[in-house]
Amino acid sequence: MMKLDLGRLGNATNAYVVANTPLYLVRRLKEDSYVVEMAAHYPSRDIVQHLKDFATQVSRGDEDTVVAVMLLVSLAVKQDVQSLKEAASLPLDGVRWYRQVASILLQQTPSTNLVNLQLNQAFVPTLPASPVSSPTQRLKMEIGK
Amino acid sequence: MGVTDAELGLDTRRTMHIENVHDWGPVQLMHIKEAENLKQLYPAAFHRPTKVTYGYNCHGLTFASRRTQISSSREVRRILVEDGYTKLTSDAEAVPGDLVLYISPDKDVEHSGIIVEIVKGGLFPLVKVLSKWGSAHEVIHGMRDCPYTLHLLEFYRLEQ
Repeated sequence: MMKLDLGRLGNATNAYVVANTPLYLVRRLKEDSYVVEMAAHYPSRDIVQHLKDFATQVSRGDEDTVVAVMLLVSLAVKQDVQSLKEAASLPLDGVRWYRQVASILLQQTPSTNLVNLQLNQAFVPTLPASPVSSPTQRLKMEIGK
Repeated sequence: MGVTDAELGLDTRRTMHIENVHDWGPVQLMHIKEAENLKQLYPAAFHRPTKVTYGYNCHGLTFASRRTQISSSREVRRILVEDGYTKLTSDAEAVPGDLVLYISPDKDVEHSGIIVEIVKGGLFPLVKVLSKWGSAHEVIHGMRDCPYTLHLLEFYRLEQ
């Protein structure tokens, strides 16, 4: 369960109102100390769950809409692409800027996950099972007959 | 921006469609309150008595006669080319009626406005700009007195 401090929405609200482009909003929110704190403090599953709950709410407060976009950006700050994709797919089109911000964040956030490579393992190149296993080699063999 | 897919029929001079968002829906109370706060944050600016609206934004004021929102930097760049704007070398060349664009480090055209006055006599000329700050009201402000990046300013003129 996330406990949000609505008294700390000032900077984000200002950005939300004066934004002429979605990129501007993304830049301002990525630098917002509360967004950075949200990213550090809450696990992705809690953030996505909060957004899911919000998506099903019948009535929404004005602050809720700002919080929704802040939470979305916090997932990008965490660089959690899977959660970001899940959040982007939520039916929150009614939230101003949500769809555009989600699209930009998905483009900006690296889509590769980190993989632990066993660098000390010997590198064994994979060879064809037999000299005539590939079509090209088979053709060469047939031409050479 | 963002709650409707409605568009206005809007073209460049080369008759190519300009992506825009036509949203004249009701305004959130929070936006009205925050717009009021801007008056305290920027006391030197002249805050025009226009209402908070999503109907048009700064680019909509600058390039679309206040009829709709243009929120894509790509579209702004295309308008500059297809309408035949001339880029000026600096603000020293600019005169009232020319445009100023505010460019962020990642090349987003995050704001635009129309130069309405150049006050000379001080150490540097004071360039005054008419623009709209997002969904907030219209403002006549010093070119460097606004909530947008000063990283790079570009100036444009429509000569014909």
